[in-house]
Amino acid sequence: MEILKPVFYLLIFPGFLFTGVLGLFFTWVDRKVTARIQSRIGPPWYQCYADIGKLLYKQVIIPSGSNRLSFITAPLIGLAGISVAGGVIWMVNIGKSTSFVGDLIVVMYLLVLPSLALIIGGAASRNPFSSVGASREMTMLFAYELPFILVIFTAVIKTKSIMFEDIITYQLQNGVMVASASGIIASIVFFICMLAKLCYLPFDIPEAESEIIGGTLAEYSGALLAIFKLTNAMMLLVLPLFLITLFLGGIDVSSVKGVLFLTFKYLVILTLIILVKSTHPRLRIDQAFKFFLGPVTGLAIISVILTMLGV
Amino acid sequence: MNISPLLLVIIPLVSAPLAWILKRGLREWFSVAVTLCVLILSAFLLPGITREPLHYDLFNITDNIIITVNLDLLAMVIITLISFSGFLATLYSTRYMTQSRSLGRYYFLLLLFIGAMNGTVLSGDLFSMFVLWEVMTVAAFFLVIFDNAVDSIKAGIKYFVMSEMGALFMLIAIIAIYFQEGTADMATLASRGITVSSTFGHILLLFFLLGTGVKAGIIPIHTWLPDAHPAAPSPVSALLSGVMIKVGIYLMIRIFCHIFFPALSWQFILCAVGSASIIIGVMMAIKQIDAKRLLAYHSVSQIGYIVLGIGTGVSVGLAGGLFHLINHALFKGLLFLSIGAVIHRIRSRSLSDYGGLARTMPITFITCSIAALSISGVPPFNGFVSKWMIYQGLVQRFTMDGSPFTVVWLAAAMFGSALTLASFVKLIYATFLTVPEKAHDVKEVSAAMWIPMVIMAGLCITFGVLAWQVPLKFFVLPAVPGVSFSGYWQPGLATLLLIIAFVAGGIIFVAGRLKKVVVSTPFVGGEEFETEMGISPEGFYNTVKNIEIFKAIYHQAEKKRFDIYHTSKNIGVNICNALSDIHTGVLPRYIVWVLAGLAILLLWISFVGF
Repeated sequence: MEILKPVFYLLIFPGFLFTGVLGLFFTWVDRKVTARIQSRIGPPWYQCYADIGKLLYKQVIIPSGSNRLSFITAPLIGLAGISVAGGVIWMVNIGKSTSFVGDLIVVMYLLVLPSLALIIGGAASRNPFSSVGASREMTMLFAYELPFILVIFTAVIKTKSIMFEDIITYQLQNGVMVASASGIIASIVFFICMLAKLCYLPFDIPEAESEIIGGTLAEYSGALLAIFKLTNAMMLLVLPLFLITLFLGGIDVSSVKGVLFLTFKYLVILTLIILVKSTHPRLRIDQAFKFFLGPVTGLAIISVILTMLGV
Repeated sequence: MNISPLLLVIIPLVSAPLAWILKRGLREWFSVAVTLCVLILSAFLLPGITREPLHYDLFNITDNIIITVNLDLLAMVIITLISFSGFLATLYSTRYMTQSRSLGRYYFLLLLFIGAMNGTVLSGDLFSMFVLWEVMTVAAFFLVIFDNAVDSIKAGIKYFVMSEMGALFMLIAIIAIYFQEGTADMATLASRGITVSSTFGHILLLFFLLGTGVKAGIIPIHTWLPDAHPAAPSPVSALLSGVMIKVGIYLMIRIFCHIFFPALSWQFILCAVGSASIIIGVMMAIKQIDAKRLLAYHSVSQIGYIVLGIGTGVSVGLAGGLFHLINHALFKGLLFLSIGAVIHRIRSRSLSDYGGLARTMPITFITCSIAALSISGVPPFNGFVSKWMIYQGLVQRFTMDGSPFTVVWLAAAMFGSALTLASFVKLIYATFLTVPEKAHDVKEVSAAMWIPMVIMAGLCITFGVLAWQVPLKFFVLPAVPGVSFSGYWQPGLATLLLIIAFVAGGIIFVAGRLKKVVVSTPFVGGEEFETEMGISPEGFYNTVKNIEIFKAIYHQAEKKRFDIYHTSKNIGVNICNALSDIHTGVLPRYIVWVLAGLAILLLWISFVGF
């Protein structure tokens, strides 16, 4: 039975199913708030679940001449990556001082898998728009990865450890990371990189519906598209949780107060994401590239230096 | 059973001339049998060495110069790697090389090369090591120029000149150390634990770094590597990149971790060189269009990780470096063999000639993808585990000294990993997925070629998923004492969970009416679908290439400004040209020179005296 425990953690709670259902709910929040900002009414609460259900029912179209193996497995790779990453982040917080599967570096690498899935899927589609999307997705990864790594270092430098539990314990003892100057800058940089990872405006360059008709997703339909949508919904939950774990004192679900506090922290981040998303136009790929390797990396370096100085 | 480790050297060296004179058809399988024999021998030796290292004197040349055999676990790991890759490369050659001429010479050189590499690692003293090192260099040189094309010969000469420069430095260092310590036996030297404090010691270490570094291909003396690797036949490239550069690393570990107890500054230099290799190697790889050249630049980059691991000066870092060395031999060998399979079919090295091969060459596609994921460090493949250990080494180093440079090295290593992924995405896209300009009517390669590829791919997965149970337990951790981990990684569980989540996604897919799968032409907004649409391999990273600073650097790199060989050649040629201007062939001018010389001489004598 011991072996089934991690499987349960992964599939039901707090992994795949829980994160997926909750993630889809927050996707609805996102759509509703965006609609209100744009003076629309917005969809009802069950819309995102209905979307997934409808997509599952629709036929799957595979572009002729594409590589079927890569085309079909690509979305599954992304889903597997985000499920395990999400499971790890939840479990270290719930389980307190027990690691599950891996440490900080493992999660960072697992979070690359959804992007990799988009790239493989786009490249395998045989569609020019998709290949442009794949190239852009990879270029974006190239751009935001350096600042992303650097700000995660700030937590590592402070705690001198790559274990999640050390980072959480440190924050319980010494106050949250974000309370320091370096922590604030690091959180801002993390937030910007998160937008790019989520492929949200102003960084939705690889998808860019209005110019490359959804980019990497152009050829996807039916159940495969549903899996991509689900992956993105899970990322909308997992990435802010990663930010909370690293800089905002972690997740406490042992009491009602803790859960409420966590919900508050998450909703603040989500609101910020939605605000940025619905008020900014899309950047060009070269602008985004320069933006990330210029000012954002600069900020990240400043935060690393401040951390080393102990500020 | 008591097997002499010397057989590992003697068998290939003795059978090398035989392979030359044997008949065509027979010699291929003879060579395969010889390399298989070496592989089996090393497999037999391995368990014994794990329990007890071997070290004995072979014979005395003089009282002080003794030829010794030294086989500890570190050497054994490298030898197993050489024998394993050697066997697979030879098996692969039987099919790959069928269209070449003078194959007798090829198999002669191949066996000589493998034997010399084994010998270099087996040598317990610096002198015999150096002799076999040179045999290895010469064999590799002739293998690189095997095609006899102008490019190959140029690349071969470049490789030879650079290697020999390094070897000369190393010879000076070896002689110096012999005269200072009175012995060249590595084990004796290691037990004395020479500390580096004087200028002399630093120069000695610098010379050793140059000698081993040229072979290993570290920045800035890596420049032979991107020329020689593509020029050589693919199985030879797999050996050059898979194991020969590892022999350089092996010696580096011996010198920097066993013989000397270096000052902190040398660890700093190793880390700096390693990080620079990682970033510069991969940045150069990103813009390559020649598939093998791209892989060669990745060798520079991955060697950077190994050197960085050694430079951390922490056990877990060194163990990570050693593990990465093993992994690199696997996935880089596999990449060269996979790309070799493509070259074998398409007869071109340019990425723009490939495309859409995933349908026609599915085995090559899958093995190449596994290798690409491994080298990019995607969990749960083997490259991830070793990189993860090197990062831990750096973090532990940071907790000890708190140096800001350590953060820089760590950032370089992790960012380099993302760039590696970027580069291989391009390779996979251009070779296997994109729409080709003209469709290729090719078949999958024959079994003698794909079996080695599948074996290596299987090992890439095994060494990743069962990292704790197999490679770390048997090879790495026994070879590096005192490793303490500060991270947490359960590859088995992670793989299980990844597969379960993958299957769960698959169930969703199946639940969504699998029967209704429809094949339709790609949607291009109503336009006529043409193959030129989309993005070419050259244009995949145009955004990156067009950023001003990268553009300027790439422009300089194209002019070979950073190539130490090219630059020093230019300087040499310029000096010679200036000197040859004196020799105009005009007699009166020569007389002026003679008189001027005489005048200076007379002045010297009258003012300074004799």
